[in-house]
Amino acid sequence: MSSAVAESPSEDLADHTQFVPVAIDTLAPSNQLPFDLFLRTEATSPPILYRERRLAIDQEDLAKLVGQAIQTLYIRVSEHVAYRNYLRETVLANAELPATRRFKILQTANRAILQLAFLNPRPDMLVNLAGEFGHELATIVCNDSLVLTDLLPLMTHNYQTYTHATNVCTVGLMIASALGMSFADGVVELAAALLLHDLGKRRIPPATLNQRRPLTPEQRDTVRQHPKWGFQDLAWRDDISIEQLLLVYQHHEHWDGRGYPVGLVGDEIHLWARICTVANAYETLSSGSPQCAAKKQSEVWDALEYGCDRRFDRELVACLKSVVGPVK
Amino acid sequence: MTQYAKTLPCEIELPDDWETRSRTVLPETGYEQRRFPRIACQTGAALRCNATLPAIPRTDTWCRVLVQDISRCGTGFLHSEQLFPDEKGLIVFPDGNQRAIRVMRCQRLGKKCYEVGCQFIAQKSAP
Repeated sequence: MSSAVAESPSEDLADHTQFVPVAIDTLAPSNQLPFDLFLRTEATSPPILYRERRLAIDQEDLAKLVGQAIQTLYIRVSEHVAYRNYLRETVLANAELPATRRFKILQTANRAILQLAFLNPRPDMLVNLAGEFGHELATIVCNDSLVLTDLLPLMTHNYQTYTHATNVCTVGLMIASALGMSFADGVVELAAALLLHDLGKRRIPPATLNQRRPLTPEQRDTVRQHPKWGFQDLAWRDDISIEQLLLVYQHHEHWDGRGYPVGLVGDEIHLWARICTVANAYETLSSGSPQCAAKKQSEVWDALEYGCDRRFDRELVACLKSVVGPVK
Repeated sequence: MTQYAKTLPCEIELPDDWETRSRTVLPETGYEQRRFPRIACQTGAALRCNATLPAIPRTDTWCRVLVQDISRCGTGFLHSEQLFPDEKGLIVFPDGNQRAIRVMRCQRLGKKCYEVGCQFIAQKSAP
Protein backbone atom coordinates (compact mmCIF):
# COMPACT_ATOMS: atom_id res chain seq x y z
CA MET A 1 0.00 0.00 0.00
CA SER A 2 1.42 3.37 -0.92
CA SER A 3 -0.44 5.32 1.74
CA ALA A 4 0.99 6.93 4.78
CA VAL A 5 -0.63 7.13 8.16
CA ALA A 6 0.45 10.36 9.75
CA GLU A 7 1.36 10.31 13.42
CA SER A 8 1.49 14.01 14.08
CA PRO A 9 -1.64 15.87 13.13
CA SER A 10 -1.21 19.41 11.89
CA GLU A 11 -2.96 22.26 13.68
CA ASP A 12 -6.23 21.98 11.84
CA LEU A 13 -6.52 18.32 12.79
CA ALA A 14 -7.22 19.37 16.33
CA ASP A 15 -10.39 21.11 15.19
CA HIS A 16 -12.93 18.38 14.38
CA THR A 17 -15.32 20.85 12.78
CA GLN A 18 -12.82 21.31 9.95
CA PHE A 19 -13.65 17.83 8.61
CA VAL A 20 -16.65 16.29 6.93
CA PRO A 21 -17.28 12.57 6.70
CA VAL A 22 -17.29 10.84 3.31
CA ALA A 23 -18.76 7.37 2.98
CA ILE A 24 -16.38 4.81 1.51
CA ASP A 25 -19.27 3.85 -0.80
CA THR A 26 -18.76 7.15 -2.62
CA LEU A 27 -15.09 6.51 -3.39
CA ALA A 28 -13.87 4.78 -6.52
CA PRO A 29 -10.36 3.57 -7.37
CA SER A 30 -8.28 6.45 -8.62
CA ASN A 31 -4.68 6.93 -9.78
CA GLN A 32 -4.43 10.31 -8.18
CA LEU A 33 -6.70 11.45 -5.38
CA PRO A 34 -7.36 15.20 -5.53
CA PHE A 35 -7.78 15.49 -1.74
CA ASP A 36 -6.29 14.12 1.48
CA LEU A 37 -8.23 11.31 3.13
CA PHE A 38 -8.33 10.94 6.89
CA LEU A 39 -9.64 8.30 9.23
CA ARG A 40 -10.55 8.16 12.85
CA THR A 41 -9.54 5.23 15.00
CA GLU A 42 -12.22 6.12 17.54
CA ALA A 43 -15.31 8.27 17.23
CA THR A 44 -13.88 11.04 19.39
CA SER A 45 -10.26 10.85 18.32
CA PRO A 46 -8.79 13.45 15.96
CA PRO A 47 -8.61 12.42 12.30
CA ILE A 48 -5.27 11.06 11.12
CA LEU A 49 -4.02 11.19 7.57
CA TYR A 50 -4.81 7.97 5.75
CA ARG A 51 -4.00 8.79 2.13
CA GLU A 52 -2.27 11.89 0.89
CA ARG A 53 -3.60 13.67 -2.17
CA ARG A 54 -1.99 12.82 -5.51
CA LEU A 55 -1.48 9.23 -4.35
CA ALA A 56 -3.48 6.34 -5.80
CA ILE A 57 -6.23 4.39 -4.12
CA ASP A 58 -7.28 1.05 -5.54
CA GLN A 59 -10.11 -1.39 -5.06
CA GLU A 60 -8.00 -3.50 -2.70
CA ASP A 61 -7.45 -0.51 -0.38
CA LEU A 62 -11.15 0.22 -0.26
CA ALA A 63 -12.02 -3.44 0.35
CA LYS A 64 -9.46 -3.59 3.16
CA LEU A 65 -11.08 -0.60 4.91
CA VAL A 66 -14.52 -2.16 4.61
CA GLY A 67 -13.03 -5.43 5.93
CA GLN A 68 -11.87 -3.50 9.00
CA ALA A 69 -15.45 -2.24 9.51
CA ILE A 70 -14.45 1.29 8.48
CA GLN A 71 -17.35 2.81 6.54
CA THR A 72 -16.40 6.46 6.77
CA LEU A 73 -13.32 8.50 5.99
CA TYR A 74 -12.93 12.25 6.35
CA ILE A 75 -11.85 15.14 4.17
CA ARG A 76 -11.05 18.70 5.09
CA VAL A 77 -14.01 21.07 4.69
CA SER A 78 -11.73 23.23 2.57
CA GLU A 79 -11.35 20.33 0.10
CA HIS A 80 -15.03 19.55 -0.35
CA VAL A 81 -15.04 21.24 -3.77
CA ALA A 82 -12.23 18.91 -4.91
CA TYR A 83 -14.22 15.98 -3.55
CA ARG A 84 -17.34 17.09 -5.43
CA ASN A 85 -15.38 17.46 -8.68
CA TYR A 86 -13.88 14.01 -8.15
CA LEU A 87 -17.37 12.58 -7.60
CA ARG A 88 -18.63 14.25 -10.75
CA GLU A 89 -15.76 12.99 -12.89
CA THR A 90 -15.25 9.48 -11.56
CA VAL A 91 -18.63 8.41 -10.26
CA LEU A 92 -21.50 10.50 -11.61
CA ALA A 93 -20.16 10.55 -15.17
CA ASN A 94 -19.77 6.78 -15.13
CA ALA A 95 -22.63 5.66 -17.39
CA GLU A 96 -21.93 2.05 -16.52
CA LEU A 97 -23.19 2.65 -12.99
CA PRO A 98 -26.99 2.32 -12.75
CA ALA A 99 -28.75 5.67 -12.25
CA THR A 100 -30.15 4.49 -8.92
CA ARG A 101 -26.61 3.78 -7.70
CA ARG A 102 -25.41 7.20 -8.85
CA PHE A 103 -28.38 8.80 -7.08
CA LYS A 104 -27.57 6.98 -3.85
CA ILE A 105 -23.90 7.98 -4.03
CA LEU A 106 -24.84 11.58 -4.66
CA GLN A 107 -27.27 11.61 -1.75
CA THR A 108 -24.75 10.00 0.60
CA ALA A 109 -21.94 12.28 -0.53
CA ASN A 110 -23.97 15.42 0.05
CA ARG A 111 -25.54 14.59 3.37
CA ALA A 112 -22.65 15.65 5.58
CA ILE A 113 -21.76 18.79 3.70
CA LEU A 114 -25.41 19.88 3.47
CA GLN A 115 -25.75 19.33 7.20
CA LEU A 116 -22.75 21.54 7.75
CA ALA A 117 -24.10 24.19 5.40
CA PHE A 118 -27.49 24.26 7.16
CA LEU A 119 -25.70 24.93 10.44
CA ASN A 120 -23.73 27.82 8.99
CA PRO A 121 -25.35 31.14 9.93
CA ARG A 122 -24.48 32.64 6.52
CA PRO A 123 -26.44 31.21 3.58
CA ASP A 124 -23.61 31.55 1.01
CA MET A 125 -22.26 28.02 1.39
CA LEU A 126 -25.75 26.56 1.20
CA VAL A 127 -26.68 28.58 -1.87
CA ASN A 128 -23.51 27.50 -3.68
CA LEU A 129 -24.01 23.88 -2.69
CA ALA A 130 -27.66 23.97 -3.73
CA GLY A 131 -26.57 25.16 -7.17
CA GLU A 132 -24.07 22.33 -7.63
CA PHE A 133 -26.07 19.59 -5.96
CA GLY A 134 -29.23 20.73 -7.76
CA HIS A 135 -27.46 20.44 -11.09
CA GLU A 136 -26.26 16.92 -10.31
CA LEU A 137 -29.63 15.77 -9.01
CA ALA A 138 -31.42 17.27 -12.01
CA THR A 139 -29.00 15.52 -14.35
CA ILE A 140 -29.72 12.12 -12.84
CA VAL A 141 -33.44 12.51 -12.22
CA CYS A 142 -34.34 14.17 -15.52
CA ASN A 143 -31.91 12.47 -17.91
CA ASP A 144 -32.46 8.90 -16.82
CA SER A 145 -35.81 7.26 -17.19
CA LEU A 146 -36.32 6.82 -13.48
CA VAL A 147 -39.65 6.69 -11.74
CA LEU A 148 -40.10 7.64 -8.14
CA THR A 149 -40.66 4.01 -7.13
CA ASP A 150 -37.01 3.38 -8.16
CA LEU A 151 -35.81 6.14 -5.87
CA LEU A 152 -38.16 5.81 -2.89
CA PRO A 153 -36.29 2.89 -1.30
CA LEU A 154 -33.03 4.82 -1.69
CA MET A 155 -34.20 7.93 0.08
CA THR A 156 -33.16 8.34 3.66
CA HIS A 157 -36.31 8.99 5.64
CA ASN A 158 -35.81 11.11 8.68
CA TYR A 159 -36.94 14.62 9.37
CA GLN A 160 -33.57 16.31 9.48
CA THR A 161 -33.75 19.43 7.37
CA TYR A 162 -31.03 18.47 4.88
CA THR A 163 -32.50 15.01 4.29
CA HIS A 164 -35.95 16.50 3.85
CA ALA A 165 -34.57 19.08 1.42
CA THR A 166 -32.91 16.40 -0.73
CA ASN A 167 -36.07 14.31 -0.82
CA VAL A 168 -38.32 17.27 -1.66
CA CYS A 169 -35.90 18.21 -4.43
CA THR A 170 -36.03 14.69 -5.88
CA VAL A 171 -39.83 14.52 -5.77
CA GLY A 172 -40.15 18.05 -7.15
CA LEU A 173 -37.85 17.22 -10.06
CA MET A 174 -39.98 14.18 -10.80
CA ILE A 175 -43.07 16.39 -11.02
CA ALA A 176 -41.22 18.89 -13.21
CA SER A 177 -40.05 16.10 -15.47
CA ALA A 178 -43.61 14.78 -15.81
CA LEU A 179 -44.73 18.32 -16.68
CA GLY A 180 -42.21 18.28 -19.53
CA MET A 181 -39.84 20.82 -17.97
CA SER A 182 -36.31 20.56 -19.34
CA PHE A 183 -32.92 22.12 -18.67
CA ALA A 184 -33.93 24.95 -20.99
CA ASP A 185 -36.92 25.66 -18.73
CA GLY A 186 -34.63 26.15 -15.75
CA VAL A 187 -34.91 22.75 -14.14
CA VAL A 188 -31.45 23.16 -12.56
CA GLU A 189 -32.51 26.44 -10.95
CA LEU A 190 -35.70 24.75 -9.81
CA ALA A 191 -33.64 21.98 -8.19
CA ALA A 192 -31.50 24.52 -6.33
CA ALA A 193 -34.60 26.36 -5.10
CA LEU A 194 -36.21 23.10 -3.95
CA LEU A 195 -33.07 22.38 -1.91
CA LEU A 196 -33.30 25.85 -0.37
CA HIS A 197 -37.05 25.90 0.27
CA ASP A 198 -36.74 25.54 4.06
CA LEU A 199 -33.75 27.84 4.41
CA GLY A 200 -35.75 30.03 6.83
CA LYS A 201 -36.06 27.14 9.29
CA ARG A 202 -32.48 27.78 10.31
CA ARG A 203 -33.85 30.64 12.42
CA ILE A 204 -36.22 28.32 14.30
CA PRO A 205 -34.84 26.76 17.50
CA PRO A 206 -34.04 23.04 16.89
CA ALA A 207 -36.02 22.20 20.04
CA THR A 208 -39.14 23.54 18.33
CA LEU A 209 -38.45 21.74 15.04
CA ASN A 210 -37.83 18.42 16.79
CA GLN A 211 -40.58 18.71 19.40
CA ARG A 212 -42.78 15.61 19.51
CA ARG A 213 -45.75 17.11 21.33
CA PRO A 214 -48.03 19.51 19.42
CA LEU A 215 -46.65 23.01 18.92
CA THR A 216 -47.99 25.82 21.09
CA PRO A 217 -49.69 28.74 19.29
CA GLU A 218 -46.54 30.82 19.84
CA GLN A 219 -44.33 28.09 18.36
CA ARG A 220 -46.69 27.65 15.42
CA ASP A 221 -46.52 31.38 14.84
CA THR A 222 -42.71 31.17 14.79
CA VAL A 223 -42.66 28.20 12.39
CA ARG A 224 -45.02 30.04 10.03
CA GLN A 225 -42.40 32.77 9.65
CA HIS A 226 -39.93 30.48 7.89
CA PRO A 227 -41.00 31.18 4.26
CA LYS A 228 -40.58 34.90 4.95
CA TRP A 229 -37.23 34.41 6.66
CA GLY A 230 -35.99 32.23 3.80
CA PHE A 231 -37.06 34.93 1.34
CA GLN A 232 -35.29 37.62 3.37
CA ASP A 233 -32.08 35.57 3.55
CA LEU A 234 -31.99 35.20 -0.24
CA ALA A 235 -33.67 38.31 -1.62
CA TRP A 236 -30.63 40.59 -1.41
CA ARG A 237 -28.52 38.24 -3.58
CA ASP A 238 -28.05 38.89 -7.27
CA ASP A 239 -27.51 35.19 -8.09
CA ILE A 240 -31.09 34.20 -7.20
CA SER A 241 -33.91 34.46 -9.74
CA ILE A 242 -37.43 35.68 -9.01
CA GLU A 243 -38.77 32.16 -9.65
CA GLN A 244 -36.44 30.75 -7.00
CA LEU A 245 -37.39 33.48 -4.53
CA LEU A 246 -41.09 32.90 -5.09
CA LEU A 247 -40.68 29.16 -4.52
CA VAL A 248 -39.07 29.81 -1.14
CA TYR A 249 -41.64 32.49 -0.20
CA GLN A 250 -44.81 30.78 -1.44
CA HIS A 251 -44.30 27.09 -0.74
CA HIS A 252 -46.87 27.13 2.09
CA GLU A 253 -49.54 28.96 0.09
CA HIS A 254 -52.65 26.88 -0.56
CA TRP A 255 -54.61 26.66 -3.80
CA ASP A 256 -57.78 27.84 -1.97
CA GLY A 257 -56.09 30.90 -0.43
CA ARG A 258 -55.83 29.54 3.12
CA GLY A 259 -52.06 29.23 3.15
CA TYR A 260 -49.39 31.62 4.35
CA PRO A 261 -47.63 34.06 4.35
CA VAL A 262 -49.79 36.03 1.87
CA GLY A 263 -52.91 33.94 1.25
CA LEU A 264 -52.54 33.83 -2.54
CA VAL A 265 -55.10 31.90 -4.58
CA GLY A 266 -54.75 29.37 -7.43
CA ASP A 267 -52.31 30.34 -10.13
CA GLU A 268 -51.40 33.56 -8.34
CA ILE A 269 -48.99 31.15 -6.65
CA HIS A 270 -45.94 30.59 -8.86
CA LEU A 271 -45.80 27.19 -10.58
CA TRP A 272 -42.46 26.36 -8.93
CA ALA A 273 -43.95 27.04 -5.49
CA ARG A 274 -46.96 24.85 -6.32
CA ILE A 275 -44.58 22.04 -7.33
CA CYS A 276 -42.75 22.46 -4.04
CA THR A 277 -46.01 22.40 -2.05
CA VAL A 278 -46.99 19.02 -3.50
CA ALA A 279 -43.46 17.58 -3.20
CA ASN A 280 -43.18 18.87 0.38
CA ALA A 281 -46.48 17.32 1.43
CA TYR A 282 -45.69 14.01 -0.26
CA GLU A 283 -42.27 13.81 1.36
CA THR A 284 -43.48 14.90 4.82
CA LEU A 285 -46.35 12.42 4.82
CA SER A 286 -44.08 9.60 3.56
CA SER A 287 -41.19 10.29 5.92
CA GLY A 288 -43.17 11.50 8.91
CA SER A 289 -42.30 14.43 11.13
CA PRO A 290 -41.63 14.77 14.85
CA GLN A 291 -45.35 15.43 15.41
CA CYS A 292 -46.72 12.87 12.97
CA ALA A 293 -45.66 9.31 12.14
CA ALA A 294 -44.90 8.30 8.57
CA LYS A 295 -47.96 7.14 6.63
CA LYS A 296 -48.44 4.22 4.27
CA GLN A 297 -48.38 5.10 0.58
CA SER A 298 -52.14 4.50 0.27
CA GLU A 299 -52.74 6.97 3.13
CA VAL A 300 -50.35 9.47 1.57
CA TRP A 301 -52.37 9.35 -1.64
CA ASP A 302 -55.67 9.69 0.22
CA ALA A 303 -54.30 12.85 1.85
CA LEU A 304 -53.02 14.27 -1.44
CA GLU A 305 -56.31 13.51 -3.22
CA TYR A 306 -58.24 15.18 -0.41
CA GLY A 307 -55.99 18.21 -0.68
CA CYS A 308 -56.62 18.72 -4.42
CA ASP A 309 -58.19 22.16 -5.01
CA ARG A 310 -57.74 22.86 -1.31
CA ARG A 311 -54.00 22.85 -0.67
CA PHE A 312 -52.74 21.53 -3.98
CA ASP A 313 -52.89 22.18 -7.69
CA ARG A 314 -54.82 19.11 -8.91
CA GLU A 315 -52.78 18.89 -12.11
CA LEU A 316 -49.51 18.61 -10.20
CA VAL A 317 -50.86 15.87 -7.93
CA ALA A 318 -51.85 13.97 -11.09
CA CYS A 319 -48.32 14.51 -12.47
CA LEU A 320 -46.78 13.11 -9.30
CA LYS A 321 -49.13 10.15 -9.42
CA SER A 322 -48.06 9.44 -13.00
CA VAL A 323 -44.41 9.10 -11.96
CA VAL A 324 -44.89 7.26 -8.68
CA GLY A 325 -46.33 4.16 -10.29
CA PRO A 326 -48.82 1.79 -8.68
CA VAL A 327 -49.59 2.52 -5.05
CA LYS A 328 -48.71 -0.35 -2.71
CA MET B 1 -47.22 66.31 -4.10
CA THR B 2 -50.38 66.28 -1.96
CA GLN B 3 -52.51 67.47 -4.88
CA TYR B 4 -50.69 65.14 -7.26
CA ALA B 5 -51.44 62.17 -4.99
CA LYS B 6 -55.16 62.82 -5.36
CA THR B 7 -54.90 62.51 -9.12
CA LEU B 8 -53.25 59.10 -9.03
CA PRO B 9 -55.54 56.28 -10.13
CA CYS B 10 -56.62 53.90 -7.39
CA GLU B 11 -56.57 50.35 -8.70
CA ILE B 12 -57.48 48.64 -5.44
CA GLU B 13 -60.52 46.36 -5.63
CA LEU B 14 -61.98 46.05 -2.15
CA PRO B 15 -63.43 42.60 -1.39
CA ASP B 16 -67.22 42.33 -1.25
CA ASP B 17 -67.26 41.63 2.48
CA TRP B 18 -65.03 44.56 3.30
CA GLU B 19 -66.24 46.43 6.35
CA THR B 20 -65.15 49.86 7.33
CA ARG B 21 -63.16 49.71 10.50
CA SER B 22 -64.60 51.97 13.14
CA ARG B 23 -62.20 51.34 15.99
CA THR B 24 -59.72 54.05 16.78
CA VAL B 25 -57.11 51.85 18.45
CA LEU B 26 -56.55 48.48 16.85
CA PRO B 27 -56.13 45.53 19.19
CA GLU B 28 -53.00 43.47 19.21
CA THR B 29 -53.54 40.23 17.40
CA GLY B 30 -51.83 36.89 17.82
CA TYR B 31 -48.63 37.08 19.76
CA GLU B 32 -47.33 40.32 18.38
CA GLN B 33 -46.01 42.81 20.86
CA ARG B 34 -46.23 46.30 19.49
CA ARG B 35 -44.23 49.10 21.02
CA PHE B 36 -46.78 51.76 20.05
CA PRO B 37 -50.55 51.50 19.52
CA ARG B 38 -51.87 51.64 15.97
CA ILE B 39 -54.49 54.29 15.28
CA ALA B 40 -57.08 53.39 12.67
CA CYS B 41 -57.60 55.86 9.85
CA GLN B 42 -59.00 55.95 6.34
CA THR B 43 -57.12 58.11 3.92
CA GLY B 44 -55.41 58.00 0.56
CA ALA B 45 -51.64 58.39 0.19
CA ALA B 46 -49.08 58.24 -2.58
CA LEU B 47 -46.56 55.41 -2.60
CA ARG B 48 -43.41 54.92 -4.63
CA CYS B 49 -41.89 51.48 -4.30
CA ASN B 50 -38.17 51.46 -5.08
CA ALA B 51 -36.21 48.72 -6.81
CA THR B 52 -34.71 47.33 -3.61
CA LEU B 53 -34.30 43.60 -4.21
CA PRO B 54 -32.28 42.48 -7.26
CA ALA B 55 -34.81 39.87 -8.41
CA ILE B 56 -37.97 41.94 -7.91
CA PRO B 57 -38.43 44.45 -10.74
CA ARG B 58 -39.94 47.82 -9.78
CA THR B 59 -40.35 50.94 -11.83
CA ASP B 60 -40.10 53.99 -9.63
CA THR B 61 -43.67 55.09 -10.38
CA TRP B 62 -46.14 56.55 -7.94
CA CYS B 63 -49.43 54.88 -7.10
CA ARG B 64 -52.32 55.53 -4.74
CA VAL B 65 -52.78 53.43 -1.62
CA LEU B 66 -55.40 53.53 1.14
CA VAL B 67 -53.91 54.02 4.59
CA GLN B 68 -55.68 51.92 7.24
CA ASP B 69 -53.67 52.56 10.35
CA ILE B 70 -50.66 54.43 11.56
CA SER B 71 -48.42 54.38 14.61
CA ARG B 72 -45.20 56.06 15.69
CA CYS B 73 -43.08 53.43 14.00
CA GLY B 74 -45.10 52.26 11.03
CA THR B 75 -48.23 52.20 8.92
CA GLY B 76 -50.61 49.75 7.28
CA PHE B 77 -52.26 50.37 3.92
CA LEU B 78 -54.18 48.67 1.14
CA HIS B 79 -52.46 48.32 -2.21
CA SER B 80 -53.49 46.80 -5.53
CA GLU B 81 -50.18 44.94 -5.84
CA GLN B 82 -48.33 42.45 -3.71
CA LEU B 83 -45.25 43.87 -2.02
CA PHE B 84 -42.46 41.73 -0.61
CA PRO B 85 -40.66 41.74 2.76
CA ASP B 86 -37.74 44.21 2.93
CA GLU B 87 -38.82 46.18 -0.14
CA LYS B 88 -38.36 49.89 0.49
CA GLY B 89 -40.24 52.92 -0.73
CA LEU B 90 -41.56 56.36 0.07
CA ILE B 91 -45.09 57.18 1.26
CA VAL B 92 -46.56 60.70 1.13
CA PHE B 93 -49.53 61.38 3.41
CA PRO B 94 -52.28 63.92 2.57
CA ASP B 95 -50.77 66.49 4.93
CA GLY B 96 -47.57 66.43 2.89
CA ASN B 97 -45.63 64.44 5.45
CA GLN B 98 -43.44 61.88 3.72
CA ARG B 99 -41.77 58.85 5.26
CA ALA B 100 -39.42 56.20 3.97
CA ILE B 101 -40.80 52.74 4.60
CA ARG B 102 -39.72 49.11 4.62
CA VAL B 103 -42.27 46.35 3.99
CA MET B 104 -42.67 43.96 6.92
CA ARG B 105 -45.62 41.83 5.80
CA CYS B 106 -48.23 41.57 3.06
CA GLN B 107 -51.56 39.76 3.21
CA ARG B 108 -53.95 39.17 0.32
CA LEU B 109 -57.49 40.37 1.04
CA GLY B 110 -58.82 39.89 -2.49
CA LYS B 111 -57.87 40.16 -6.12
CA LYS B 112 -56.00 43.46 -6.49
CA CYS B 113 -56.23 44.12 -2.76
CA TYR B 114 -53.30 43.49 -0.43
CA GLU B 115 -52.90 44.68 3.14
CA VAL B 116 -49.33 45.82 3.61
CA GLY B 117 -47.63 46.46 6.94
CA CYS B 118 -44.60 48.75 6.90
CA GLN B 119 -42.05 50.12 9.27
CA PHE B 120 -40.85 53.71 9.01
CA ILE B 121 -37.13 53.92 8.38
CA ALA B 122 -34.65 56.77 8.21
CA GLN B 123 -34.93 58.61 4.89
CA LYS B 124 -31.31 57.90 4.02
CA SER B 125 -31.98 54.14 4.32
CA ALA B 126 -34.32 54.27 1.35
CA PRO B 127 -32.48 54.02 -1.97
